[in-house]
Amino acid sequence: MKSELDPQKVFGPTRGARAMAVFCGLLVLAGVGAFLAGVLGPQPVRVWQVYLVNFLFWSGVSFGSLLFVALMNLVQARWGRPFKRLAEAPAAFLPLSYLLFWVLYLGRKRIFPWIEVPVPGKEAWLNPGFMFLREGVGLFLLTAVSLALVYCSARSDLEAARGEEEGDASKGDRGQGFAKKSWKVQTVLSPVLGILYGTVLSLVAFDLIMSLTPEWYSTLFGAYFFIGCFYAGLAGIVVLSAIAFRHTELRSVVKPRHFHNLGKLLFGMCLLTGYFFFSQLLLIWYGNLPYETRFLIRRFGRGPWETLAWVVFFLYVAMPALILINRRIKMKLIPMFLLAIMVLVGKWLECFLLVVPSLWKGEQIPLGVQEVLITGGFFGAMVLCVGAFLHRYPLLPVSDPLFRAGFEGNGLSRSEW
Amino acid sequence: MRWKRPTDGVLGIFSREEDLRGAIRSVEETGDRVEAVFSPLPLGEMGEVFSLKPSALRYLVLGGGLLGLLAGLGLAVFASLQWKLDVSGKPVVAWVPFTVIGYECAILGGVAFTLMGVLLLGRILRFRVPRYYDARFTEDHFGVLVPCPSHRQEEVSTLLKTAGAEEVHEVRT
Amino acid sequence: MEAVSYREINRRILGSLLPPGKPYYLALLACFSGMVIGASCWVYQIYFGLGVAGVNHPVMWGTYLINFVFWIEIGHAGSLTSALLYLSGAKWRNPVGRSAETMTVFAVAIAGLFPFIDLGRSWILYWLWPYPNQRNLWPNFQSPLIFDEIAAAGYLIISSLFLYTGLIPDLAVLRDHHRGVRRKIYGFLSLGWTGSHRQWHHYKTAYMFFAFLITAFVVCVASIVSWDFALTIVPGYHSTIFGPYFLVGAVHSGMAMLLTLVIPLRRIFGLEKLIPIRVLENVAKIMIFTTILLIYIYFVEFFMAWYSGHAAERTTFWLRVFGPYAWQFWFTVFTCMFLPLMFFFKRVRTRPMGLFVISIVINIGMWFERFVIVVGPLTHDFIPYAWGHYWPSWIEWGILLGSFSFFFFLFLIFVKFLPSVSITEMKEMQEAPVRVEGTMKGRGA
Repeated sequence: MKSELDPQKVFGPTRGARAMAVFCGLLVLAGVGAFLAGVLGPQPVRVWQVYLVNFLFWSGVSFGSLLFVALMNLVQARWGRPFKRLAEAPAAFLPLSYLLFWVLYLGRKRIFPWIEVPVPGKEAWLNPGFMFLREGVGLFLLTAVSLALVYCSARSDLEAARGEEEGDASKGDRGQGFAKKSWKVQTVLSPVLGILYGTVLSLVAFDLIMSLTPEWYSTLFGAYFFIGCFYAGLAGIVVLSAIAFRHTELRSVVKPRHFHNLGKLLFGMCLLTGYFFFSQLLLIWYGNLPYETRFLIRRFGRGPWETLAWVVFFLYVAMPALILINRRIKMKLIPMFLLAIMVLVGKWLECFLLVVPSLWKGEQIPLGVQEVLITGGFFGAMVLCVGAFLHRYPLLPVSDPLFRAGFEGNGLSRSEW
Repeated sequence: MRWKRPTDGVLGIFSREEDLRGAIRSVEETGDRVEAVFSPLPLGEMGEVFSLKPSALRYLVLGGGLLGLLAGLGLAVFASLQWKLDVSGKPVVAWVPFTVIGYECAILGGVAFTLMGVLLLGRILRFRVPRYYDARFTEDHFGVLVPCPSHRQEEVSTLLKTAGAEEVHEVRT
Repeated sequence: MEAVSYREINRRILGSLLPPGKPYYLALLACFSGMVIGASCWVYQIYFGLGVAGVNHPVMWGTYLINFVFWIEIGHAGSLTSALLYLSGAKWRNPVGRSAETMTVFAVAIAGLFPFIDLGRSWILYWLWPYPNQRNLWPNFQSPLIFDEIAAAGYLIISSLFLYTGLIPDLAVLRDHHRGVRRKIYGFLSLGWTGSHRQWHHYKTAYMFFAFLITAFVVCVASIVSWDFALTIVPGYHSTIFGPYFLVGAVHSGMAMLLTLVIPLRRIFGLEKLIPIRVLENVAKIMIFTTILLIYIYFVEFFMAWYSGHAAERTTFWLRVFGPYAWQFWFTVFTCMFLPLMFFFKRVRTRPMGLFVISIVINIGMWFERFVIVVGPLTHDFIPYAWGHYWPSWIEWGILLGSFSFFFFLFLIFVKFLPSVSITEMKEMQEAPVRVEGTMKGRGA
C-alpha cells in the first residue's frame, strides 16, 4: 500500500519532455509572431477577436478545472482525489492568463464597439475605465484565490513527499503541521473559490462576450458561460488523466470506477450546458423580440455561421451526450480521451461562434492561418505551464486526508455517511 | 419464484448475515442449487454469488424513451398540421417548442417501459407469499431456500445447520 | 451514526403507526375544516364564476398560479432529495427519503388542482386534452401551457410510481407485522414480496432507473413551469434565467417544507436516533447553497433589467423594490436570502426548534416571492392604460387555506398508515450484524 502512495513526477527530465518543451516554445513564438503581424497588418480586428476567443477558452478551461477541486473539497468527495493534482495543474497558466487579459486593453478600441460609439443609457457600465477596473479586480481575486488553494495543496504534498523520501518519522502521520493547516485552509478557500468563480466568470461573460453586441442581453448568459467552462474543465481533466494513466504511476491508484465517475460528471455537465443553451434559445425564439433575436439570427440563421453552429452543437453537446449514455465507454481510456478532445474543440468553436460574429462584418468565417498560429501559441503556453507545474509537484495528493481515507477504508462501509 | 412444478426442499433460517455466504457455498459444493436467498434488505454480494447480470431493463428503458419521443413529436406535428394555425409568425411545425414535448414524452415512455419491464422481468406481480415464507424475513432474519428431493432433505438440513442456521424447515416449494 | 439493530428499526418505525392520541385527531379535524372551507370557496366560485376571485384586467394570473408554482416546486425538492441524492450515493438522505417522496406526491397532486380551479369553467377541462373531435380542434402544442399539462400530469404519475416502488418492501414489513384486514390490504399492495435476492435485484434496478428518470423530469418540469411566464414578453417575466431560477427556488422552498414536516415527525415519534441531527444539518447546508444561488440570480436579474436600457424593464424592477408590493419583496429578501445564511452558524443549524421556525418563515417568504414574480410584472407592463392593481379576494384566501389544509391532512393520514421513514433504507445504513466474540454487535438480543 505504501509504495502505491509514493508520489511520482510526471514529466521527468526525459528527452521526450524536452522535445515537447521546445516544440511548445516554438508554437508560442509562432503565435506571438502571427499576432504581431496581424496587429500591424490591414485587419487588426481579425487577430484581436481570435486573441479574445483564446483568452476566454484557455482561462475558462483553467478556472473550470479548478472548480472541480473546490467542489470536491466542499462535498468531501473521496472518489476524485487521485485527479486532484491534474485538476490543479492549469492553475499554473493563471498568472500568465491575467497578464494576457491586460493585453486586451491595448486592443480595446478594436474589440469593444461601445468605446467608439457609446451606447446611450449604458455609459455608466460600458465605459473602458470601469470595465477594465472591474474585470481586472475580479480576475485578480479569482486568480489569487485559485493560486492560494493550489499552493496550499501542492506545497503540503511536496513536503509530505520530501518527508517520505528522507525517511522522516512523521511521514505516516497525516495530521502533521503544515499538512493539517493546509487542509484547513483548503476547506475554507474552496467555497470562496466557488462563489468567486460564479460571480467573476459571469462578469467576464457579460463584459467580454455579451457587450460585443451591446443591445443584446440574456440573464442566463453568465451561468451558461461558467457551466460551459466547468464542462470544458472536466474534459481537460479527462485528457490529462488519460495521458497520466498511460505514462505514470497514476494507474496504480486509479481504477475504472474513477473514470466512470468522471465520465458521469462530464455527462451531467454536458446535459446541463445543453439545457442552459436551449433555455436561452427557446425563450428568445419564442419572444421574437428583435434586440434579442438579432444575436441568434446572425449565428444560427444564415450563411456559413449556421453550419459552424451545427458543428458546435454536434461536437460540444450532441455527440458527447449520446456517447456518454453508454456505461462501458466511460471506462475505456482512448475513447474518453478522444471524446474529451472533441468537447474541447467544440468549446473553442463555441467561444469563436459567440465572439466573432459580433465583431467580424464579413460574410465568410475568418478561420485561417493566423487563427491557427495564434491558437497554437496559446496551446503551447498552456502546455508549458501545466508541464512545468506537474514536473515540480507530486502527482498524487499524498497529504490530503480524504485521499488516504479513500484507501484505508477500501470502499465505504454501510453506515458511511 | 418461477412458475414451475412444486418440489420438495429445505429452508434454512439464519440470524446472521455473514453465515449466508458459507451456507451457500457448502450447499453448492454438494451439487444442490440455492433457489433463493431471503433478506430484509438488499445484499450487495448476492449479485456476485448468483452472477446476476445487469438486467435487460436498460434496453427496454432506452427503447421506451425513443418510442415516447416519437409518439410525442408525432402527436405534436399531427395536431399542428390539422389546422395550420399561424401563431405570431412562427412556423406551423416548429421544432424548438416541440423539442420540449418530445423530451417530456421520451421520459414518460421510459418510465412506462421501466414499469412494464420490472413487472415482466421481475415477475413480481403475485399477491400471495409462498407457504414456506417466514415473516421474520422482513424483520431481521435471512433465509436460504434449497430445492432437493425428499430423500436428501435431511442431509441438506444438517448442512445448513452446520453453516449456522437457527432453524431448518422441510418445505414444499 | 450509532448502530441500531434491524429489529429495533422495525419496532421504532412501526411504532409510529400505533393508534394516535387526542392531539392527532384535533390536528386532523383542523385540517379537515380547512379543506371544507377551501372546497366551499371553490364551489362558490364554480357557481358564481371566476369573477369572485380577485383576478381582473390586467392581472389575469393571481393566487391560483402562485399556488400552482408554490406547490409544484415543493414537489421538486422532494423528488431531488430522494432521487438525485440517491443517485449520488449520499446515504444520509435515507431517513428522510420516504417523507420527501410522499411530500412530492401530495404537493404535486395539490398543484394539479390549481389550473383546474383557475379555469373557472372547470367542467370543460377535457377541452385541453388532445382527442379527435368534430371541429378538428387540437391543443396548441407550441404553447407552454400544454407543455405544462403534460409535465404536471406526467410528474404526478412518475412520482407516485417512484413512491410506490420504494414502498413495496416496507409494505411487506407491514403485512408481516399486522393481522386481519390490514394484513390482507398490505399483502395485496406489497405484491407478494418475499425479499428474495432476485426480487431485490429487479427492485434495485427499477428504483435506480426511476430515480434517474425522475431527476431528468424534475429539471424539465421546473423549467416548463417557469416558461409559462418566461415565454411571454412581459417585462419581469421574459428572462432566460427563469428555468434555473425556478429550479433553485424549488429546492429552497421544498427543503424548508421538508424540515417543517420532518422535525415534528422525529420528535413526536421518538425517531431522533434514526433521523439524527446530522441529516437536518445537511438539509440546512443545501439551503445555504440555494440561498447563495438565489442571491446571484436576483443580482443578475436586477442588473440585467438596468443594463437592458428598456424603460419598461427598468420600471418593473424599480417597482419591485419601491412599488405597491415592495413589502412582500423585502419580506422575501429578508426571509429567503438573509435568514438562511444563519445556517452558516453551527449553533443555528443543529437546533431542531430553530430549524423548524426558520423553515416555516422561509416557506411564507417563498410564497410571497412567487407573489412578487407572478403579480408584479402584470400590474405594470407596456401599455400605461393597462396598468392596474391586484389583491386576492376572500375566495382565493379560502382556497389557499384549503390547499395547505389538504396537504397537511394527507400527510397526517400517510403518517399513520404507512411508514414515514423507509424501514428498508434504514437497515441498509447499518453495519451488517457482525458476530463479535459472542456479543451481537448491531443486532438486537
